[in-house]
Amino acid sequence: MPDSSFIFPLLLQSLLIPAAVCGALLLMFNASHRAWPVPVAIAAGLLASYLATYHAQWSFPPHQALDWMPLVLLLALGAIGVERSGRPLLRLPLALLVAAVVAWPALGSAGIAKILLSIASIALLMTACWSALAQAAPRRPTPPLLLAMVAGGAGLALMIDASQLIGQLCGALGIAAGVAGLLPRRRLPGNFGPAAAGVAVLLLGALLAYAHIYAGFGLGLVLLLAAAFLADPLMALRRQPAAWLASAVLAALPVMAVVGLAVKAMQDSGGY
Amino acid sequence: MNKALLSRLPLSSLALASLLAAGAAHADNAFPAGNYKIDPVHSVAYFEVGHAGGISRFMGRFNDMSGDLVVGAPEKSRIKVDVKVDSVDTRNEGLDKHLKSPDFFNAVQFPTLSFVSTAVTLSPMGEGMVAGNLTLHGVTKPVTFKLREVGTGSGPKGDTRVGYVASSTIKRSDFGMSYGIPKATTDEVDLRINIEAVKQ
Repeated sequence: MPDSSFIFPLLLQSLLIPAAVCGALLLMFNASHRAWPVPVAIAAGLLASYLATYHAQWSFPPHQALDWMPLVLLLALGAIGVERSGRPLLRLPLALLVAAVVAWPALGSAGIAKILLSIASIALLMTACWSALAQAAPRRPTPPLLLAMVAGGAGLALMIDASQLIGQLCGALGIAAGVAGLLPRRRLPGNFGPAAAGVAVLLLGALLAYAHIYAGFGLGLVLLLAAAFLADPLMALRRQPAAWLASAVLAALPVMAVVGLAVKAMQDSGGY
Repeated sequence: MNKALLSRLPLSSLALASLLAAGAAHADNAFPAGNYKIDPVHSVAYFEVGHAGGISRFMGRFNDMSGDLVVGAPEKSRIKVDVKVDSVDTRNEGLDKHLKSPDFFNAVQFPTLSFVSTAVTLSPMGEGMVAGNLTLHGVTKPVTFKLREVGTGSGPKGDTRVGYVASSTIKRSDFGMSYGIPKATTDEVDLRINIEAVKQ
């Protein structure tokens, strides 16, 4: 029987708090039909979890890489402006900015070439996933649930094999995206549109970048998780009414593979 | 000194005499003054924490250590130690990976743990204190170690060597490492640095 004093804080910080904050904000914004309530609620859910988990370590001015997370959240909200401007080309510069905030504290030890390469590859990956989800978001119910599944799977894998802290935050993001996807549509103002997809993808991308750069989370695992986002656009091409179910199953495969590989890595490294 | 005389001496005088004798013996074996470089093979830094809220004591070590010593009069003595955080070793690869993550040491952003002395005091018995600045997790704080001279002599190549042990207890939260206190590991961390250094 797991120790409840260990499990309860995890559930509180990564499940209850982000779900409550995200859900409460969505219900509060019920009267609004604009594009910003859903992405703001998802970001607020993650911020609440971050404060609950990390408050003892956080310092201002920022000292360690994860101290910059509030700035990452603010930048990610820039996706609302990008989508409102109707200029998808702005997605890449915003993703580059987010990736740079995540990666630059490692400059001293990793070297400029490696960091620039990391920033460029992370930003390209985030832009590709954002674009794929933004295309599907207005027409299909899957993007928030897909995000919930990928972020939740990433959280589980990270807690098993890399960093419990970043894993908890990924889990919280997954819960917030899940709440945004599962609230009854009539109660979901503004729907889960491209702006919400952009904010959620940038936040998930930032957390996975933290995990890869600072906690040794394999690039292969990050790519597998990114591949899950391809399921939806692929199935959308078939134009079948029930294709969302097939896309959910297709997306679950790489996520399950990532969790399986993390479990194997944990077993190979002594079962810690 | 005959038995009768010995019996007339107060006990405190005997204790003082034996202390002086020990001190003199230590002084005979005085550590040769000079500049020394830490021998990374025969030096190691240990840490010990309470696990799972303090139900047991858990030890780990850092295998990669370097630095310099100046041995001489206390006011001239110096110690500088650099430890590569990436060399953390708990005999479990998974735990090592977790310790290097941002949950604990954040080894990518803060690859080095270092100590630079500011003052050294040593008694004739070879015990004392070394005060200085410890940089851990990118935070520098003053820390005082207990210092003990272990021995001096020649190495296999005829080089002059000295040995010291330094130990202290810190709070990891003072250095911005607060994750998992106290359920995963305790806030208090015992540090012990075993040094063997070669005269240059």
